[in-house]
Amino acid sequence: QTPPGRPVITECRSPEKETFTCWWVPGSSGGLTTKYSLHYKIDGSQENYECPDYKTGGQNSCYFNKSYTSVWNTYTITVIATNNLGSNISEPLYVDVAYIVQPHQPENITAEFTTLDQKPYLMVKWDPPKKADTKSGWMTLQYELRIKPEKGLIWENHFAGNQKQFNIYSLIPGEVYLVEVHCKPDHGYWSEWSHTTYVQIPHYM
Amino acid sequence: VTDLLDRAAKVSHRLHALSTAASNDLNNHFAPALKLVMMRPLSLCHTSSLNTPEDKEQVLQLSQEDLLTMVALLLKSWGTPLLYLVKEAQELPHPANDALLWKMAELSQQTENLARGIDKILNKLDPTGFHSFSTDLISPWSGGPGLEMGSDKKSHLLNFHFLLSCFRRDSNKIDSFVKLLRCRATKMNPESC
Ligand code: NA
Ligand code: NA
Ligand code: NA
Repeated sequence: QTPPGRPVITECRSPEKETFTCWWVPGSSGGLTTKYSLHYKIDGSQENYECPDYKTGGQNSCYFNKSYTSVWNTYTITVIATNNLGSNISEPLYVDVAYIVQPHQPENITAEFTTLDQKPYLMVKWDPPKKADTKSGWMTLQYELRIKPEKGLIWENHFAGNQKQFNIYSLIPGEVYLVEVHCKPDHGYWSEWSHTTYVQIPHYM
Repeated sequence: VTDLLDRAAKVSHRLHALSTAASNDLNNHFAPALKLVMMRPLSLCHTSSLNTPEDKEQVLQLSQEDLLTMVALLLKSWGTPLLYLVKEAQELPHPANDALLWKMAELSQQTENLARGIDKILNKLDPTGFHSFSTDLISPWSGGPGLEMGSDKKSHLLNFHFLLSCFRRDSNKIDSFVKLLRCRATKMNPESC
């Protein structure tokens, strides 16, 4: 039995520039019941606070709701592991919420086969993730979609910019296609890919 | 105005992307000293006195004129310090100083461009010049390494890093505010934001 190993803060992410969550991995428990607590300081203040919510983000995480989140301040974050034989503190992580934005996936992806002026194409549409406030302009998202035939191995990617719609023209008649979309803020991380939308292309030739 | 804001958003986007790239250039060769730098909180940035908003609710409460004025003040507060960064980049004891030099030169130039563009928008919105803010509001910058820092090479490097971190954060605010304004200006066409 030993004091706890050093915990490591793995990352902090904000899905909408209004709240954020940090996650850590515990070090060795030293064979004893070990408790973890997350502590933070905000830019310019010496005041040290403890995590306001260990529940919402799941195990080994801390969730900062709107009232605990300010976007353009640096949070200095540490995690302390404690058991009966002692305690151990993680390396600090410095976080600016503006720099850790990773949105949720785009939603309601539809892919509709249609023709215009006898030109057949696939019209793919989607909505921004519900949580991201794009309507007020608080978040600006860019989108990319990828498509591949059901039996194909390679995805074909198309960058859609700020548009929430994209037309794809070169399609193999009779194939079933898989379509997925992801998004990223102007400055930040790509979301995960959305779940897959399947579309059957008719034998139109 | 929509057109001007569209152009402004392209420049503000570039400013933040470029200052992020410059920060990365600097940090890639800077690991040991980094922790020391982090000790200097960005609340000491010369623009902290401008009391810009800190979250969405605060930002959305501001009028178009208030947001534009805030952007104008931030940009003008960076005129002199960016010229200083261009000068410093030429003598910086750092392996990436060539890359840093052209980035600082472009940042300085684009910041001036954007400041002119924002002035133009403010004048269009209010030709009477009612908006014209006092130059007293522009945050003065004391210049060079802070008093608590020495004049040796390392101090110059740390001060460069600190100023660039301040600018990177301010350029993120500027870009956010400009894109919000662009979105508001195109309300008839919600597809654009
Ligand atoms: Na938790
Ligand atoms: Na908040
Ligand atoms: Na964004």
